[in-house]
Amino acid sequence: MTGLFLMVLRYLFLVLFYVLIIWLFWNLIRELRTMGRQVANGEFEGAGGEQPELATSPRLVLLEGGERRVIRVGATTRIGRGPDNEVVLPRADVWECHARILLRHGQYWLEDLSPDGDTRLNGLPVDGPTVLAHGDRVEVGGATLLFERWPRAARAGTA
Amino acid sequence: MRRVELLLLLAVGLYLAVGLAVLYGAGIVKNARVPLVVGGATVAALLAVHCYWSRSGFRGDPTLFPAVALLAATGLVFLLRLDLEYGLRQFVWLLTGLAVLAVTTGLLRDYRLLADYQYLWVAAGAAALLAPLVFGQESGGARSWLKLGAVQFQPSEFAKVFLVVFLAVFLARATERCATGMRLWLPTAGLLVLTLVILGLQNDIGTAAIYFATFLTLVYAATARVVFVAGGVVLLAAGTAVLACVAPHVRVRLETWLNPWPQVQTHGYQITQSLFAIAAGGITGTGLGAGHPEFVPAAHTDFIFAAVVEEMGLLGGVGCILVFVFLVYRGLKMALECRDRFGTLLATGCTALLGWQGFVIMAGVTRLLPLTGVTLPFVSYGGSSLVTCFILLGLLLNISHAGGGSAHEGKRRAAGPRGAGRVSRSHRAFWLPPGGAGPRSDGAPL
Repeated sequence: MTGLFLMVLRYLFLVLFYVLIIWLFWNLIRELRTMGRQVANGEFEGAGGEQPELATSPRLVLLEGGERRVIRVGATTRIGRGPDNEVVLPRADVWECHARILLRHGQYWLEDLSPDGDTRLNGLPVDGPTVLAHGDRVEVGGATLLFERWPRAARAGTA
Repeated sequence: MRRVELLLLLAVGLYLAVGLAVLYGAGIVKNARVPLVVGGATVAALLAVHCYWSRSGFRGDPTLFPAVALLAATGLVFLLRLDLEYGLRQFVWLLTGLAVLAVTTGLLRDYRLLADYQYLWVAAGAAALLAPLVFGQESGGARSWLKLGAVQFQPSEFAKVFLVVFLAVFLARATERCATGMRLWLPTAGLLVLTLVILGLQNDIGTAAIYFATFLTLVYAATARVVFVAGGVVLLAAGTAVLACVAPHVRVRLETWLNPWPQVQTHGYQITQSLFAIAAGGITGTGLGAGHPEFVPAAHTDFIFAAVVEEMGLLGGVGCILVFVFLVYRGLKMALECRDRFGTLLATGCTALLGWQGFVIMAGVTRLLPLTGVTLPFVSYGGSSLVTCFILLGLLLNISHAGGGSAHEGKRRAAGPRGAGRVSRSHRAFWLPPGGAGPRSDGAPL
C-alpha cells in the first residue's frame, strides 16, 4: 500500500514539474500574443536602440503657445527657418539652418549649426553632437521642442 | 499585482512538498522534522521575497523568479536525497541566496548606478580571480577555493559578475562614442586573455570556457558583427589544439570525451558512470529515491544533471533544459526591451553567463562536449555558485523593472510614477562623459 502511494507521489513529482514548465511557457505565449496584437494595432512601444524602425517613430513635439505640433524624426532632421528644413520654424530668432538631429549607431544626436551657438539642450548650450534621450527639451532660438523617443510612454508619463 | 508570480511560487511550493514527501516516504530522510523545516522555511522565504517585491512596487518580470525557484527546489530535493548534509547546507545557502536576491533588487534597483564604478568592478574581479592563486586551497584538481573560517568559497564565481558588469559598461561606453579598432579591441581582448591565463593557472577550464563564451556573446551583442564571433571560435579551436599538445591533462580530457570506454576504470570512470545513470533513467526515470545516482562521483555538484535524469528520466532532463531555455529567452527579451545600451549589454551578459554555464555542464555530463567541471546554475550544490546566480537573477530583474515588466501589464505600468524628466536625467548622467567634453572627443566624424 505504501509502495503504491510512493509510486503515485513519484509520478506526481514529475507531473508537477511539467505543470510548472507548461505554465511558464503558457505565460510566455500569452505575452507574445498580447504583443502581437499591440504590433498589429500600431501601439507597440518598441525594442531597444538597435532597431529604431521597430518602435513607433521618435518625434519632436513643438511647444508654442497653446499649440502642439508633432514632427516625426527620421535619419536626418534639419531644424531652421528655411523652407528646405524638415522642421520649419518661421521665427525671427531662428537661423535659416539652425540645428539638426542625426540617427547614428541607433542613437539620435543633436548638432548645433547656428553661427552663434543658440541651441540648447535642457537649458545647456550644445557644444558638439550630443546624444538625445527620451524627454529631452531642445531649445532652438526661442522655440522649444520636446524629443520623444518612445511617444507612447511619454504620453502616459506627462499625463 | 504580481498574482502570476504568487500562484507559480505556490505551485513550486507544492512541487517541493511532494518531493520531500517522497524522500520521507522512501525512508531516505528519516527525521520527519527535516522535510517540514526545509520545505516550510524555503516556501516562506520564496513568499517573503515575493511579498517584499509586491510591497515595494517592483515591476520586474513575474515569471523569471518562479522558474529559478523551480530549479532551486529540484536541486534541493536531489541534494537531500544524495546526501543529507549537503542538502541541509544547500538549504542554508538557498536562504542566503534569496536574501542576496532581495538585497540586489533593493539596493541596485536602478542598475545604472553600477555604471559609475566600472574600474571598481574590474579591480574586484581581478582581486577575486587572483586571490585563490595566492591564498588558495586545491579541490578536485582546481586551485580556486578560498577558506574563510568555516566557510569555503570560490571567488572566481563572484568574479564573473564583476567582469560582466565591467564589460557591459565598457562596451556600452565604447560603442556609444563610436570607438572602433584598438580603442575597443585592445582592452576587451586584453581582459579576456588575462582572465583565461589566470583561470588556466587555476586549472579551471570550465569556468574559462564560460568566460570566453560570455565575452564573445557580449561583444557580438555590442557590435552585431559576426566576424568577431567567427574569429573567437577559430581562436578557441586553435587554443584547444595547442593546449592539447602542451598540457597532458587537457589531452586526457579530450581523449576521454571522444572515447571514454578504454579508460572506464580510470579517467573515464566519472563520465561513463554518468552515462550509465542516464541510461538507467529511461523515459520517466527510476522514480525519486529509487535509483543509484550515488555511483556517479561528484553527483551533488557537477553531475547533478545525471542524477536528475536517472531519477526523473528523459522527461526530467528535457524539463531542466526547457527551464534554462525559458530563462535565456526571458533574459534576452529583457535585453531587447531595455532602453539603454548598458542595460541591454548587462542583461545579455547575465543571461549568457547562466545559459552558457548550464549548457557547458549539461553537455559535458551527456558527453556532447568535453567534460569541464562547473556547476549547474541554481541546481548544483555550491554556495558561491548559488549566491552568484541569485545576484545575476537580481540584476536581470532590475533591468526588467526599468524596462517596465511584461507586455500584458503595459497599461498599468504606463500610468506609473516614472516621469519623462527623471528618465532623461538618469540617462544623461550615465551617457555623457564628465566635464562636458562631448561625445566627439575621439574625433569620430558625424
